[in-house]
Amino acid sequence: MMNLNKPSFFLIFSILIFTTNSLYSAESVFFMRADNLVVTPSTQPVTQVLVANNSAKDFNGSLSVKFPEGWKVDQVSKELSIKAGESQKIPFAIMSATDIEANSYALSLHLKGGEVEIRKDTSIVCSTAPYAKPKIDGQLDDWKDALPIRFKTGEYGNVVYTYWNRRAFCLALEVNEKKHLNHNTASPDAIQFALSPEGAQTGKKGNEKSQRYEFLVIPQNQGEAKVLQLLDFNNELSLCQEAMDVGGEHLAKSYAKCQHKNGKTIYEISIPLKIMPELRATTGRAFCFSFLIHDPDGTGIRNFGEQMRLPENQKSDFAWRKWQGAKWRQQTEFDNKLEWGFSSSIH
Amino acid sequence: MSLFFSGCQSCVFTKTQKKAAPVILTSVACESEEAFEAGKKAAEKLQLSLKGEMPKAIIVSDTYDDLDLKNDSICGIASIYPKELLFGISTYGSFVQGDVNEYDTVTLCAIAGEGVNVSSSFIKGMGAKGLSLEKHKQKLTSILNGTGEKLANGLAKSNDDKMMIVLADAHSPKNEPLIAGIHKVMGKDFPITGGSNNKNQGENYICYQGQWVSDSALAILLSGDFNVTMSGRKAKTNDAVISTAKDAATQIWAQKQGEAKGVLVFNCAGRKGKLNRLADEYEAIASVTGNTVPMFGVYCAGEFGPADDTAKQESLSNGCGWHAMFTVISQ
Repeated sequence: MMNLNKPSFFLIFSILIFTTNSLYSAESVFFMRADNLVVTPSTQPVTQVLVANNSAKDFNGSLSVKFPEGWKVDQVSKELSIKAGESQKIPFAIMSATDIEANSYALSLHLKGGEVEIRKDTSIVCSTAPYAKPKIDGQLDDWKDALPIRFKTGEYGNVVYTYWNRRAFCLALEVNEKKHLNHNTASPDAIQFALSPEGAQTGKKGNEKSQRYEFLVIPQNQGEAKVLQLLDFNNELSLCQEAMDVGGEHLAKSYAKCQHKNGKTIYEISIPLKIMPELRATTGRAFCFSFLIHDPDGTGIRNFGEQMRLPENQKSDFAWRKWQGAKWRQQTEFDNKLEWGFSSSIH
Repeated sequence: MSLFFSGCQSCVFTKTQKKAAPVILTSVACESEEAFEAGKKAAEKLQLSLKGEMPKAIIVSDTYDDLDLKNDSICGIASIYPKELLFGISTYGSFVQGDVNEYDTVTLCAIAGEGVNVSSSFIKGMGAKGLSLEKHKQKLTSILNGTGEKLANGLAKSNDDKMMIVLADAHSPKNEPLIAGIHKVMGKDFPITGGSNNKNQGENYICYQGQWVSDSALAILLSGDFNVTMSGRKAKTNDAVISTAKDAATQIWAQKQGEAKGVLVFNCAGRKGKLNRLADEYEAIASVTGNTVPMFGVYCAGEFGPADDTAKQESLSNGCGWHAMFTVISQ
């Protein structure tokens, strides 16, 4: 039986209370995320900051955002009230801004109200697919007018590029990895990606519609890659739990190449827009996009949504369809819906 | 180099004569994957609509995504009308009375009638291609200012000049220094409307007398005995695009003097991209103007007209983005 009079008990108890208080500090009950820009900053878009109040108390206060030097916005600080357990997206209209080649823009978020004060330094990117018609040949020479997004998984760098044109959505990836596994192995490398209309949500029940178009690209021999469609817009989410056989036919009118050299694998992919009518692709339209890089003999799964700081409540067992040979992590994956845009050619 | 185009049918070059005569505007659209057929059918519809009246200028909006198809559409129009009458812009979509279109569409607006005269000016090889205001601000501003001045200086002017339509390969915000150059010649109070062509690879062209040319700018000066009423509105969300379009239409309808002969709307592709349903904006406009008044609406990569911005009230017309610019011509 524990002796309550012993000093060590109080020491342990104090540590426990301190730790508990830390666990329930403001930072852990308020979540903030600034949306990426779906058109270039110089075109004066509206960006939004998600504030989630996961505490037991209503919040009344303000959100201030420090934008990069030289940017002008409609207001740098906005008043807000968020009930306990709810979240809000607060818009900031950019009146004047400059595009930079690095495609990464630092922001500082400051939430203040009552006993709550949180500062968070973050960054956003321009997540947009400019209009272009690249030649799918495994080379990246015609991707200079895309807006690359660079991110790291451990020590391994990755770059993603997207384009669109009236006929196709195009994706290119540079994946740094020690070894490259193609379809001749039981668990090959692969790219798995999904597109859905703006506002689509991943349901919580198996009988709900997927509301997305999901694809898998597996490297073949001699620089080729096979494209398979994993999910269509009206498929039920329960299909996600059925591991798809990857021996099927290459998706008609899609094109894909894959080259591995000097520790870097380049994927270049084109998917016909005709099979994705719900996207209603047009200049200026927003949509949702994300991807997984499968590197089973290296880092495992690299989830782009995780890199883009999606909130924890956007993890789902229905986020990605299973397929035969894939090595999944022992965790629920972040969802497939990041903000993205169809935009005009950059130059 | 600037060229002149006369409003008189029987002579090559005349001055404007003041007449209380009618102004005729009419617009049509035709969608087809066969660009030549679309151009020809649109021109035939226009001809029917004009009832034998010969236009003084035809403004062409085209949404084909490569130059060969664009040339085909011009050839189709030119099978009915002379190429010298064709002035146009590559756009992201269009609307005419009762009809909204996106891809593979030719949209035409004829300017005709004894009550209007037309003068045009064209600058090619501006030198703005590949330059951005971020990296080349001084050089690009100088080039575009100069182009604007040359465009305006190249026009045959008269005492009855009423408005200008500017079509340019200078997307927002490059359209700002371009119109600043025009202001130096025409003054800041002169009504200017128009738009910047589609920025997409393979689509960035202005049409001058039937030739598609990139890195160029075109000005069309309208003179005669008619009234011009303008309005501009900015929006970046679905609901605001629809409500501001209705606001602007309501404003010009209330303020116009006389009977509306036609409405020009130079609109923003960014606004179009925000629409949940493409026809919603047009329907909001038509709820004010009706479906029968000739309307020529196009979606552009930058717009000229009254800025919906208190910081830009020094000039009647500015170079803007995210705007819908309305002009009603009335008598």
